[in-house]
Amino acid sequence: MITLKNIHKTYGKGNNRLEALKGVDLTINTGEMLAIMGASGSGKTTLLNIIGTIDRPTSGEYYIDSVRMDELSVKEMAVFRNRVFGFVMQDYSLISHYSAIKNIMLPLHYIKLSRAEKKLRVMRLIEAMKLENRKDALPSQMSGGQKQRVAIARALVNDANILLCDEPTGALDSVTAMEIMSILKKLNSEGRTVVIVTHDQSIAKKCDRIVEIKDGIIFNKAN
Amino acid sequence: MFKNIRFCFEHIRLNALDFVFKTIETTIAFLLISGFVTTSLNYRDYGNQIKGLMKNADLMTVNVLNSESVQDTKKNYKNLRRIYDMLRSIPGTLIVNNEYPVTINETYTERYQVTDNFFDSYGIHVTDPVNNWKERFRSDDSGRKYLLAGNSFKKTYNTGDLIDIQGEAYQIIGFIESGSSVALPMQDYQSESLDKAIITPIYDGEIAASDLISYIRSITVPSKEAEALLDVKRYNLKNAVLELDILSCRDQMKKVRKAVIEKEVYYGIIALVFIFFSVMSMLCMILQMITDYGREYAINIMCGAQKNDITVRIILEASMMLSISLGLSLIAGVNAGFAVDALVSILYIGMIVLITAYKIRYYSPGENLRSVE
Ligand SMILES: Nc1ncnc2c1ncn2[C@@H]1O[C@H](COP(=O)(O)OP(=O)(O)O)[C@@H](O)[C@H]1O
Ligand SMILES: [Mg+2]
Repeated sequence: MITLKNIHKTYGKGNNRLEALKGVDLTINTGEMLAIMGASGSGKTTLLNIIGTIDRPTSGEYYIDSVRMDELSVKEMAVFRNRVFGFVMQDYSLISHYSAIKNIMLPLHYIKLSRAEKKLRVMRLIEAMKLENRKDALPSQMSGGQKQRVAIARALVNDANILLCDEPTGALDSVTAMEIMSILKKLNSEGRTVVIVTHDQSIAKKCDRIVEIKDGIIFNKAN
Repeated sequence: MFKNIRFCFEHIRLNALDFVFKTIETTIAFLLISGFVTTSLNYRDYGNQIKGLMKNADLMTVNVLNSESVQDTKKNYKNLRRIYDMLRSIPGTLIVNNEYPVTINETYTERYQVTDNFFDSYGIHVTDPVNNWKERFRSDDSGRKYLLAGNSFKKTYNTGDLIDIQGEAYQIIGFIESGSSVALPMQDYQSESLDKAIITPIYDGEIAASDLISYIRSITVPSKEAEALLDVKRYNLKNAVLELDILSCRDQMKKVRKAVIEKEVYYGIIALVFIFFSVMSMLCMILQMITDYGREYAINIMCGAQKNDITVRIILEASMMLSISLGLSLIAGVNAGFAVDALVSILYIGMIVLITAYKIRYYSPGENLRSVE
């Protein structure tokens, strides 16, 4: 269970000071599929980055189960990003000069596993994401849907339990978007917690619960 | 650490062209630095030599202003010879005549005909000499002729060997210490290396009038012998031979020193400017790596890297780049002078043109628009 208590995040100093999160309280249950909706600039990415330990909150408390996340060392945070969280971004966040398979393998560089085990994981995911004949392609040679499937495969390669998706369908057409959503839905049904940031009502409706963020504050919304 | 090294090599492999280009750029920076530093250091050495010379000897320089108009008559010859002999007989007179280069083994070779006080005045040391080289150098008798050979002759000759110069055999009585040079105040203030030159005593037995003039022009006299110089002047005036201008060497040296200091400052400033720009360009290379690959690094962090890993990788790649550059620039010559620098600059511009052309050739607008990735 993810628990955020009075999370604040401030960017900049002095005149440039900007409070992106103004006391976020949020609980996300294990195995839940949650949509976070909000206008552009409302703090969605900031919140997701804090949950994913890419960023630290300025103040507040953040727990996963009983682990105090905002007080972890950089090393422990790296381990969480590597093994617990999987990220799926609107812009795919693939390395441009890596082939699909290399991109998928990236998190494996930061974990100790046998070669055979690594290979097995990658092959399984390539198959699951239907990327068999695109595995040597560069990101620039793939369609948006293919790129997002590579990103999902990468998020899953260390068996992440929490998927953090920042507008995962934002750059995709509606058919491809639904395809990606059904993949995420399936992953959720396997027991993974899925958090999806979106401003698309139709995407949000596929989730168990929707919360809204407005100017850095969360509002619960009945679904 | 091992993981980061692997990443670093992988990164270089996948961005080989970028790496090569940046390495060339830093190599050029190193070359520019070394070239200019060496040049300015050379000028400093030269300046020191002249300052040393000023300290050691207070000399008067004999200038001949109208040498071309001197008629080669018997009478003139007699008078010239008289002037020359008078000057030579002044105690402490120093002659350094380099107007007669020679050909040795089909190679143009600078020859310095000097009086034996030359070595002390210029602080020139002799290596591998015969026992009594100074005496032989002094002996004016006919018979055997002697020379001191520049250090580069050591490859082909030994002390005692004979060298043929214009049909005459000269015996090597020693070598000039490697790296020696002279800066003759009467010779354009330029420092000349003696490594490929030869030094001989003055053999002035039967020489033409024009040769006498060249010797007279190469003479400096200690200023305490001003009285004797006055005699020469008077004799010259009475017989109307030459337009002699006797300059205090101190004045001339002052001019030289001014020129040297100007050059030191000039080259020093240029060196500093180039060091500044080269260091900046190296720094920019490193900063550019961070911006160029900023996204890649962020993705790595997202997948489990720590910021430390990224720092290590950038430092690894940058130090590889810089050490390759340093190695290359050392091979290409720390002694690179202006010519090499100019050549390198042209190459540099050429590289930029080529790389840009290459990159644009394989640049696909379609792909770049598609890959928001
Ligand atoms: N690094 C930053 N420095 C300063 N302001 C930032 C930074 N990142 C985001 N912001 C600001 O914080 C606010 C929330 O940004 P973000 O979380 O990206 O919003 P969203 O993802 O909902 O569009 C915006 O006003 C944005 O301009
Ligand atoms: Mg956003």
